[in-house]
Amino acid sequence: MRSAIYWASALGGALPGLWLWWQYQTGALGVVPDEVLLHQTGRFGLMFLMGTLAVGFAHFLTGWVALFAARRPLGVWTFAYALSHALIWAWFDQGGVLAFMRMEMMEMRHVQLGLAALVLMAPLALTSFNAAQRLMTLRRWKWLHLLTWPAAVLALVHAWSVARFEAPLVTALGAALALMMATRLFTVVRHRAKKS
Amino acid sequence: MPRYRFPEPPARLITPRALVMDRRSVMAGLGAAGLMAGLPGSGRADTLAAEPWPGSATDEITSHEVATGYNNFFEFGTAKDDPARHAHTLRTDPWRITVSGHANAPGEIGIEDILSGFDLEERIYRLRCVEAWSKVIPWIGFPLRDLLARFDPTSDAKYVEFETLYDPAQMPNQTGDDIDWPYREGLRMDEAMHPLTLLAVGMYGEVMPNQNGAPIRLVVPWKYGFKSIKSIVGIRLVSERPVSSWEARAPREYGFYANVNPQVRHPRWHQATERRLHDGGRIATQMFNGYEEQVAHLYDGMDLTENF
Repeated sequence: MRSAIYWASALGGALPGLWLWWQYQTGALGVVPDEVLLHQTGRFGLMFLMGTLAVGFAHFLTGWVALFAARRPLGVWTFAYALSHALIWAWFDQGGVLAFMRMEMMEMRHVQLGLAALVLMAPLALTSFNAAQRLMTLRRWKWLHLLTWPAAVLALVHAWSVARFEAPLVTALGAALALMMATRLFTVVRHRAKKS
Repeated sequence: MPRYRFPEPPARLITPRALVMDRRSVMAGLGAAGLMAGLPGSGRADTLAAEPWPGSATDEITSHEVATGYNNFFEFGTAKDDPARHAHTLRTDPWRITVSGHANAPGEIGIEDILSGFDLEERIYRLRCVEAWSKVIPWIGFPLRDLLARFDPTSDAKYVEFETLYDPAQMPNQTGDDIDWPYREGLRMDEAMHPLTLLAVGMYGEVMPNQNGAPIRLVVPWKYGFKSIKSIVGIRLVSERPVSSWEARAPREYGFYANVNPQVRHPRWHQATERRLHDGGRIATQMFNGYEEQVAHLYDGMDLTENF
């Protein structure tokens, strides 16, 4: 029996995408809609990534264990939005031309950072099944999913390097990430201290 | 996956272009006869007559919708649709340009004298933004050198500095500090006197829309778009090289010359390709935006990587 928190995050995560898709189909995304698709899917990916990490932080603040049910669905949606962001880049922004994509990957730091974040998240998305958890053992699965943290750092630097005037938002997200990382380290240290 | 397209109207329902243009000439005729004055909401005639220019680009013209709906004009906001949404507050009549500095006959000229005093041409130019997108726009205007000649620059005039209107009541984002307002741009004298360098007062057969830099703007087709300063109120003939607004804000990223050059990258992105809006896909960027034959000699012996 899955919890309401699980279903709310598993189904609710589709809403931003559906809303964007609806606007795209009805021509509500302005005169250059592909660019809005690109930017919005990137923002959704970043926000879901921060939301996934915020579950642990919210638990740290409230001690409410049931919240953890939201973490995996939010993580999977993060990857879904990040992947669609990359595909929209490849198909619309680069026109599907491999030579152009290769050049951007070779020369542009923000493309490298974004793709690196996506690559780090890929094994996490691929092991999002209960069976994978059992096969790997929970301990190793948890270790693997620590990759979320470097992926978040890469994604934020990626966003910061393309932000023109949105830099304050990205800076705020960076501060939030630093705070969450610090509390995470604090809980680990406290946990270790209790054990010994 | 293809985006759903609403059904296109059958050909028989589409008004032939010639008839549309004919309507425009009727309206222009009304304007000339002073009859427009009696129509509600018509300050100035909205159309401009211009001679076609033989050197026009043959690329497919960008739609009017995109040309007027996707703009960088930070005086009205930093989002691409901000100028179209907010530029209605700009008052373009009356409008005067002050020409000062090293000239034998410095002074002012009103927009009405500009519109009636120069031979207007329709020139289709490629416009390449430093952000790696491009458009193809049918401008209406006349060479900058024709205007400068009226004020008779002296031999001390080595550079031309341009200034946009500063009035936060009309340009709401000037209350912010994205740029050290007013926006300023500059050209070397030989660039300013080049026959391709245009002062545009209209586009697509109409007077310049506010969001595109009404009532008069610069168009330098071989340079990145930010050089083509909008809504000009001041022109100064100077002996020292002026500092452009973007150069002042980020000197590592935006140089004074800002010539379109696929080999010289921006610190954060390369300039080898561009998105042709909308939707000409992604294409290779040409040296000097395809105007190499006409302008390369201006930069003989210059290191274009150093002078980006």
